[in-house]
Amino acid sequence: MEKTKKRASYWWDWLILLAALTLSLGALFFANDARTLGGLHTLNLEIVGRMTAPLAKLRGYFGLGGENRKLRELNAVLQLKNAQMAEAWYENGRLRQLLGFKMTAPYNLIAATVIGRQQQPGMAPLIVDAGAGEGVRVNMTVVAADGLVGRVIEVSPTYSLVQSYDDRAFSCAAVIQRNRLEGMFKWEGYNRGLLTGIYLSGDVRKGDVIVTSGTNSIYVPGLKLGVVSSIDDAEAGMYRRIYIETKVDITRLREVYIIQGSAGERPR
Amino acid sequence: MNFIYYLIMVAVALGLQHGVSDLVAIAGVNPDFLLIAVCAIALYAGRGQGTIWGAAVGFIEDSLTGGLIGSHAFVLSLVAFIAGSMMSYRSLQSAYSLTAGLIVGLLALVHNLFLYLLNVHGAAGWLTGLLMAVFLPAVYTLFWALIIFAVVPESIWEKIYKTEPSTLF
Repeated sequence: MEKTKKRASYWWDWLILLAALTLSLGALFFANDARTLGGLHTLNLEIVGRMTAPLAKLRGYFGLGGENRKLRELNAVLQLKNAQMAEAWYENGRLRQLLGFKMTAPYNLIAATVIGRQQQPGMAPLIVDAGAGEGVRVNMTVVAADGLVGRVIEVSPTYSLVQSYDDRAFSCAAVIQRNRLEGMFKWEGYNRGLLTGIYLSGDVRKGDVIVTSGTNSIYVPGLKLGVVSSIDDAEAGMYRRIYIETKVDITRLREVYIIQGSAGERPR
Repeated sequence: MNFIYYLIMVAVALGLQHGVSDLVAIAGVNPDFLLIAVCAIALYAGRGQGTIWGAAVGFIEDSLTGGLIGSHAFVLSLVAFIAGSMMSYRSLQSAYSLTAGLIVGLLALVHNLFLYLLNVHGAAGWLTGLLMAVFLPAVYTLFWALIIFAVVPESIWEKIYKTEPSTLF
């Protein structure tokens, strides 16, 4: 009797494994359409967001002293820059009026706190505490003080999932700010980004600032991605291999801003 | 009753994985608390129940990573089955800390290798990829597994492990 029970349990275990593997392989092949599991994504995000939120306070205590000192310095610099830019803004407005150009208002920002991050090499979305209730929608651009963070890929009523620029699936149209040469920014892996699509004859220099171009209708234009750290023409084919040092430290990110609207929409 | 313990384990692991794992990262290498939780369940409950929990946790992970739905579910089911097969209920009671920790470390290698093969990691070289995505995270997960298995009071482990496993959950 005991032997029969043990034998049944043995085959039962194998049957469970077979079912689990079949189900997961089936999902791998047939359920990777975003529409199929949209509701499950939202439900999971809401549940995990609620479980992670109490731990979010811990994040604030790591490196708080150093961060405060840096922020005070940055505040002083930004106050000076702000004064200069305010002057330039009014001057720009007057000139636009003279030329008959339409004025554009700044984008609306939704402030959010990073409460968690999935950690798998190559795909590490952020969980932020702003969701559909605050007006967040899929594909909205997410920024931090130093530049682009990524885009919203999933929204639940109270939380959102953000695909950061260091995700293996991330890519965005980018330009070199100095001469408007356009390329495609991708995450090269582990420490740096890669700008591709610029011909060998393209004028690129170390230290050039790379910003979003806004031509792929998701990311708003002009957001800083990073600076050119090195160029490897020896490994290049038709296009230059331009390595980018990004400026936003995703691992230490706490506050982010979600831009309402996308590159395809007019700013409000 | 066991179901509640396992549910708490998974909830805590999910909270740690998404809330604090990047804060304890060293040079971009993170521990995998979910893998530790799934292995802990499989080590005690056996490979059948472990596989079910592995698949369930894997699907939750899949829906949160933005990656391929089914990839974590596939790997965690397999890893849980191996963990459950490697350690019997009785031997675990006498050597849960070191042996269980080492099993988790070994399975972390298998787990990371599968995920590495299923997902293309940017344009970095394969050797760097293997080191950063497979080997180092496995070592760091082993480190955390040993700490967790050793630091969590023996009375709690005994409370969990001395409860006879139910037929399912």
